[in-house]
Amino acid sequence: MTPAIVGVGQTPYRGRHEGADAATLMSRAVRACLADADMEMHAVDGIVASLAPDALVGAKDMDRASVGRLAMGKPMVRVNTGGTSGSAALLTAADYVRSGRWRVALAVGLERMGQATSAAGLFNTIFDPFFERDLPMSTITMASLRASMLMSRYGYEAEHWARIAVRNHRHARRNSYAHLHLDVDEADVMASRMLAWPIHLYEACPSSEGACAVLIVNEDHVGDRKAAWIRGTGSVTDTYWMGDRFNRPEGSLVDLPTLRLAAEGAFSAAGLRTAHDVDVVEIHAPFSSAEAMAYPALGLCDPEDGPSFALASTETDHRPVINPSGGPQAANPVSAAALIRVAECAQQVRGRAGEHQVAGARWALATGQGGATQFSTVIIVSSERETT
Amino acid sequence: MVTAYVGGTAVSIGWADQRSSLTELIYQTVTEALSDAEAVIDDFDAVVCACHDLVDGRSLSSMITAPAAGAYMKDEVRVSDDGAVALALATARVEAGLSDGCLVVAWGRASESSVDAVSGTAYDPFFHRPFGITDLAVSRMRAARWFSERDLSDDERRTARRERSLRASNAPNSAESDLEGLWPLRDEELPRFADVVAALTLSPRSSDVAVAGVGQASEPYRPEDRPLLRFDALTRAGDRALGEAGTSAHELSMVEVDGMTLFDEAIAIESLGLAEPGRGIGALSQNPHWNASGGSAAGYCPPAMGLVRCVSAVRGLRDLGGGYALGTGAGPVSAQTQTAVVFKASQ
Repeated sequence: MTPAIVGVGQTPYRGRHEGADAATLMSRAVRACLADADMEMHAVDGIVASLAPDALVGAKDMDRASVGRLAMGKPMVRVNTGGTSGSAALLTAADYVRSGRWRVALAVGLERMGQATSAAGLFNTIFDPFFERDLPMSTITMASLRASMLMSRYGYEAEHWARIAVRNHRHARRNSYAHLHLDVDEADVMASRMLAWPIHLYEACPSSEGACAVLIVNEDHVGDRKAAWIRGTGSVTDTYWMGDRFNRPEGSLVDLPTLRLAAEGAFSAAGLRTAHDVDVVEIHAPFSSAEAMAYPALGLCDPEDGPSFALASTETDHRPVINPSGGPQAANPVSAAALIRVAECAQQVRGRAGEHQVAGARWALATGQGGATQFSTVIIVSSERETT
Repeated sequence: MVTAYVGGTAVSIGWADQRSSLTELIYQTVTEALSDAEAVIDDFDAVVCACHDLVDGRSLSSMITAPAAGAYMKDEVRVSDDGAVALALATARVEAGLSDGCLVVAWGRASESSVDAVSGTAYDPFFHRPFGITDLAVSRMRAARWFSERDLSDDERRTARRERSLRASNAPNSAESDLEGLWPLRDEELPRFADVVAALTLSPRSSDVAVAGVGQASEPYRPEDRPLLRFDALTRAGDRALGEAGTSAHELSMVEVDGMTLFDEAIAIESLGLAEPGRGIGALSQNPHWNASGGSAAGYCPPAMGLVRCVSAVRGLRDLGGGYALGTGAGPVSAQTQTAVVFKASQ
């Protein structure tokens, strides 16, 4: 049984959504999603909420109040796997649909990290209190370590990170939902403030708030609706300790073996070989350098060819198109970011991506990354239910 | 739809054991479940965990705990929700043919912080928290409402406390609690906060216990919008699970309900239709197969308890050698969500 996405709803992503509480933001996304699907809330059998660290919003289980207002007695489940929470929520919803327990499932991601006094400070608390927090390890320094490793191992240079950022921001200017609509060139990016070498400000994600909702149905409920069929999925978890991920047969810290394994599973289910077989790739990478780690794992190139692939991918006529939405560098509401990747892929193959639509897109792949690249997900959608 | 069968189970209940870190407790408990299943870790391709950052004391705590639960290089997901929700999701995965073997693990270590104080951070910061509303405070309100609207003789109450303590004394490991003097509850009616880890293996391979029915439901977020003496979500979840299993509440051989206090457990019994309103406390003490484990008196720490109740239900069913068993799990914000799982002895 192949589940399908038949509705997508998003709020604009902003640094702070003033004047709207969490429940209001979520309901906006859900209403837009249901309208897109031409379906009513009473048809939904269950809701899976994606909510990453509670500390970001200063309240435990914020989904209980916001989803609770919509649920009307329906089953509610909350998933929290950090950055992959959004894709994990979609996979969870799809699991319930595939099992036959739910016919219609709603996956919602909500982020209110603009309420945090310091998102970076809070993300520091995901790291080991004895060996890592005092370094100080944060999501940015964690990414900078990987970037420097990519540069020393595979020959990436600062220009590569800047060119990737320019491409993503160029794409984001055509996405009305994106948080940032920067018009920058390579020089602008490299002149922007250094966050943690070699990562510049414009190569990093913003701190964004917003909500995304996706409706997943079983085959019987698609009807005449424009569907993005979920053709392949994969989810793999790595060990926590970065030191244990340097020298091992599975692959090093920057080789992302979990993403590779997740992708292999998804490709196999979809009847594809590599990401070259899709039209669109939405990579969940808050930093330019993090995006580059995904290329070999998705079969887009060999690791040694990563730098040349990175440059080629920034050309306007490159296929597959990478991050036509702009990706997380243009909007990164943490709890929702991985779900947004899937939502954007769904809109591409449904022909509903608006100004950033990739012409003729029939296959799209969304990645999810969580923890310190510990959790990886891959979801492949297509306008075709079966490959003929 | 494929049937999900229960293989092995394990529960660890203790208090502030300085010899073991949380990850060691999780690893040991999962190892015991594997041993009980006569299986090895490679027999499983998926893990579903239930735990909470604010209970574990670390943001995205599953980064460090999920590998201890067996998630390395496997398909793993963590629900920040009750353990029975993790079991429901794992069941869906097996039934959908997505997993040939799934570990379900839930934990909470109450000795490291005030779990009840943590529960209070889920309540509205303007209208609830200033009044000190926590899950235990709401439970106390339920008990107070019980006394104002229902009859409960001293004898019946005393008997229920004694029976509950007797059953809890059979728990394999000690649990301590410094709760006392929380009106209108007596000490023996309170939960015994503990360090709790539960694990269960699930697969499409036939065993003596099958998952026969699953139900999940929710109620409004605000406790004041819900009836204090009913768990309507549990009624719906129970009906769904029992209907799917093709049985009724009165045909159950074994029942394990999740409730923070004796009164919560009694209300859960009533909400499942196992006792008339007002008769739940007496029914609990009179039926030796209802919360035979001792319930929350045998050790308590959300979000592990729904899985603990389900493990107890499975074990009780195996001891009886036949019939149906029901395990329930209550979610955060004073049981806003409920999960019911019916197990059937299949051999």
